[in-house]
Amino acid sequence: MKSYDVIVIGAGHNGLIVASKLAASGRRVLLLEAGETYGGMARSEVLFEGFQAPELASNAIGISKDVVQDLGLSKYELLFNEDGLKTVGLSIENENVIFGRNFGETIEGLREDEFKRWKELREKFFNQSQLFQRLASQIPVGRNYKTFGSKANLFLTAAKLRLQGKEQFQELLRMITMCIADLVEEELETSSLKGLISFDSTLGIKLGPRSPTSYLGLLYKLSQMKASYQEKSLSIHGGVTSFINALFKSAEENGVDFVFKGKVSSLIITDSVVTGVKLENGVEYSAKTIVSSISPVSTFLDLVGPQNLETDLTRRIQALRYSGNTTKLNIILEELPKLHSSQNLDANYRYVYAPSLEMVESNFNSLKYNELPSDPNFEMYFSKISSGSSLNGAVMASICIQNTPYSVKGGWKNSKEVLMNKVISTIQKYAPEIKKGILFKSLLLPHETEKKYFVAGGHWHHSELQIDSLYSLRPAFDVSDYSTPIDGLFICGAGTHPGGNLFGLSGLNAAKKILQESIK
Amino acid sequence: MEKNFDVIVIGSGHNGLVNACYLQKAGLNVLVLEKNDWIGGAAVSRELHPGILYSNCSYVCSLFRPEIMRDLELPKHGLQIVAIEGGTVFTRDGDYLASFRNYHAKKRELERFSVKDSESYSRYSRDILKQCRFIQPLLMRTAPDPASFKFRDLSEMLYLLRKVNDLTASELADTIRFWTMSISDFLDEYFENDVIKASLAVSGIIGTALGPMSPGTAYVLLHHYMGEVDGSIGAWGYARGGMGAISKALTSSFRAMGGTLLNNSEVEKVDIRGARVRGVILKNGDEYLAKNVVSNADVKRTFLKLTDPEHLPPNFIKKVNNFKIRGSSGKVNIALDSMPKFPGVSDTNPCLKGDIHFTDSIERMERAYDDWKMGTWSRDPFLDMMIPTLTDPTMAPPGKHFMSCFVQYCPPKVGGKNWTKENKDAFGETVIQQIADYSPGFKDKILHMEVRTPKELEEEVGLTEGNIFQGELTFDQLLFNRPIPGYAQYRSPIKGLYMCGSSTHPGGGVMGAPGRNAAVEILKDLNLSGSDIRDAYEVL
Repeated sequence: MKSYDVIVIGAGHNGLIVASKLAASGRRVLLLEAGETYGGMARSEVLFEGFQAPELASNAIGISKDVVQDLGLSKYELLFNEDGLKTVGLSIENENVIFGRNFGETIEGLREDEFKRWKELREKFFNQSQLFQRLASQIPVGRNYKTFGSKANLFLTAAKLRLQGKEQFQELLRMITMCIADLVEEELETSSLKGLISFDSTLGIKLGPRSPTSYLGLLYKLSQMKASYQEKSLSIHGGVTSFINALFKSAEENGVDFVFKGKVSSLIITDSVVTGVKLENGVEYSAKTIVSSISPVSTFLDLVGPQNLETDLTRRIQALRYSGNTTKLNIILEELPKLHSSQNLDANYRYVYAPSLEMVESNFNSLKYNELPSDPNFEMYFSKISSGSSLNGAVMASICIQNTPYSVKGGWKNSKEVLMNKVISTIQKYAPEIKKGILFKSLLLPHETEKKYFVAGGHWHHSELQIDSLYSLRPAFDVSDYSTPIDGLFICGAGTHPGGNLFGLSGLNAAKKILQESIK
Repeated sequence: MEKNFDVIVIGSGHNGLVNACYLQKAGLNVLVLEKNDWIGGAAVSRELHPGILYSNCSYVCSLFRPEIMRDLELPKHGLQIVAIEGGTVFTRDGDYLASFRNYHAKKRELERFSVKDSESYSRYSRDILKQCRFIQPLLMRTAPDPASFKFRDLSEMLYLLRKVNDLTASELADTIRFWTMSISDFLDEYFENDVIKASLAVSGIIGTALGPMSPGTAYVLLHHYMGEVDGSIGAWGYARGGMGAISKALTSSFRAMGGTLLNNSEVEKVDIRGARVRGVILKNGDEYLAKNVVSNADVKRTFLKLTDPEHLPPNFIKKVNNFKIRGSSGKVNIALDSMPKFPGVSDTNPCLKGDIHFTDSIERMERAYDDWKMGTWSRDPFLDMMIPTLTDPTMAPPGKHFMSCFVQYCPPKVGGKNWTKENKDAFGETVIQQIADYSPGFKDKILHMEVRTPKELEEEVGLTEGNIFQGELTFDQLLFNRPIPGYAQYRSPIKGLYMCGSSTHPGGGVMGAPGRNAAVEILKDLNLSGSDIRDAYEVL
């Protein structure tokens, strides 16, 4: 049996970060990945005729500054757009609002007085997002919460927020649990703007704009934007791939060993101490420290097993909600579609189809009852294909569809085509010629993501990112500080604090925790 | 008549009366002004059909604080609370899930639907009880202002922190999750059977403008669970003689102490001179003077209608405007010629003496809410029905019955427009039809009925948008945020003007706590001791 200091399970971005960081500290690290290559849900796949691109992740928003600096990733080639991406909030009457970079620094198509109110509201949003920003890089208060240090930490955070001023502090306490619908309706009128903000607040989360706490979704997003490597920029495919490649190179240079197609079937645990892993093909590896970057449900219920856990923790993990609710549609087009609009639109925008708050809410209603959304909302990015494949010169549209249930009433077999057609005919309303130019298209539903990318439920965040599963409650109180009741076992995936997107802080925080523990 | 008082209370709702009683008891000369010719706001019994008393607004009593009952000697003034026996949910397939006060009988009945759920029920009850214990003492304390550095706010914050610190790590985690979850997610952690979940989810949505799948509804469950009849948490009760009996007892207690109460005296404006209260001016032109005015009306009515905006900071007015007070429920009150028949259940089954429901799945509840969100009443509404005359024979002649149907959801406006008579009739018909679907021959038994939409509630009782809690019970409007951050301590920007309605902490329900807490704060400002008002946690 081969022996290592550390075994990391799962080569998604969080797994890569932990592996690289621990290897850099002089440990011998093995990274096990069930799939054929690294990158997890951000990995590149051959999509059509030899053309490779990330199938799922479409934007590189919110890659944490800390991760890039800590691992020295800037020495590798990271591709970011120099200029921030603008968002077009498509409207029904074709009076689209164009959201300037940095979440609406400027907005085209808005009356002056409304823009003034928007500016104030936006400032509040960004101000309050600092709470998350502050907490994101902290190791959450966990089982050891009675210690002085962890209490002091929380107290300081509260004090710092209070020092911003009484009025602001009161607004924070009032707004933080509100629904985004009430907040935007207090200040704004333009339907497509309200729709756009509602969409951004609830994408990937099982909440509608009228659900209390849906504002947290927006705060979360903004805090990631603020803490990201290049505040002002979003980059399409190239950005994602360059980030994942940089992580891989960094891990490789630090001496991490990789095993692909190495799906772990169980952990070897005796008397609540983990000593190694067993793969599906029977191979075993031993290590004193095992770090799992896969979802908490898989880690605890499949790999560790309830027989090794206290019932309380098992119950909490079982209660996690992890059914995915977003679907990805990739379309290859002969050329950039011409948009039917008086405004001058082109491929350098992010397009969001969420013309009204009510529409987002009603699609969420469908999701609640496992039904197909009647007029699905989605966001769409275009990128020119310039690789050496036969598709050179074509354009890829990456479309992320909101509120699509994990299992649909009547089964996905019949509904898959319906969903795809619904989205394409919506795009057709804005770009009438689009159907003629479609070369390839493919749809990836949550349950397909689950199978292909080895993610329980196909949930992009591994489990719901809602108020009852943030910070110390993510994924469950007893394991929120990345350590677990099993000696030597740590978790570091998106299911841990702060989770989500390509942030990478889950991995970085977990690595820090492991280094701390070994000093003790 | 005398025109000078120490304190004027606007509105004779139960909180106004509780407030007035405590202040009168502390030696002040108090005047209560009521616009209607009856007393009690939304806690009333009215004879709308000859011989039959209607609890036509609030219909069940569970939250009324026992401390208040003792302090004001309400039993001596005729208040009697009778515990409710059971409850039942009729299912679409003709079965029913009954609940009984007897724990073992209840568990046996649950077992009929799911053995696993019956076992989980013990764990569930234990967990709820823990949460009740945690929150109960907070009800009778003024919420601190977390943004303030004043001594009393800091020390109150410290009290809260200490309470949190007393919990074990695992309890703390459970508490935070409980406060933030949706009732549907919460019940999913215990139960598998849909009927059982639906029957337990009821308390999470009653009176709120939220569906069972909205985060925060698990907390609302608690709001209904804290009922304390005979000291048992979760038990609900009828006031003998209808809900008006509470107002009657309070009035009797108030008058016995020498207080003055005037009917048919609608207040037009609070008289404010130089940022200080001088008294009130009535619609009929009468003027009463007092240095302190307490409003039992909701926060919107108090500051947008009864007060001239020139006396208030614009920022404050904006926040009052943003206060969420959407009505979400209606009522259909029915006088019945005889006991309605429910196939499969005998008339004497105690489960009929409690709340009767027809909504047998969370999905049906949530869909009812979806209709409300879209601006209309629920096509398949959720009904919380009670027949108090089965328990309390004083409300109707023998054999006849009063039936109270609380209907959720019902919007303050239909599709953005005011309610019309046709709307109202259609709404009533939807409700009656649903009952008739489960109870054959029901329509023939109706002697008289009264349909109440949020519009009627607003016009008659004065509840803005017909919200029965005088403001939604969401986090942004609870504790120190209720009604408005910085004004959670019953005071207003105007010296001498106070609030004591359900718009203030701890919120709605026939609880009396806001009225009592406001009295404590007023007495503090007047440097009068309210030494006989004990802190809740000392009583526990």
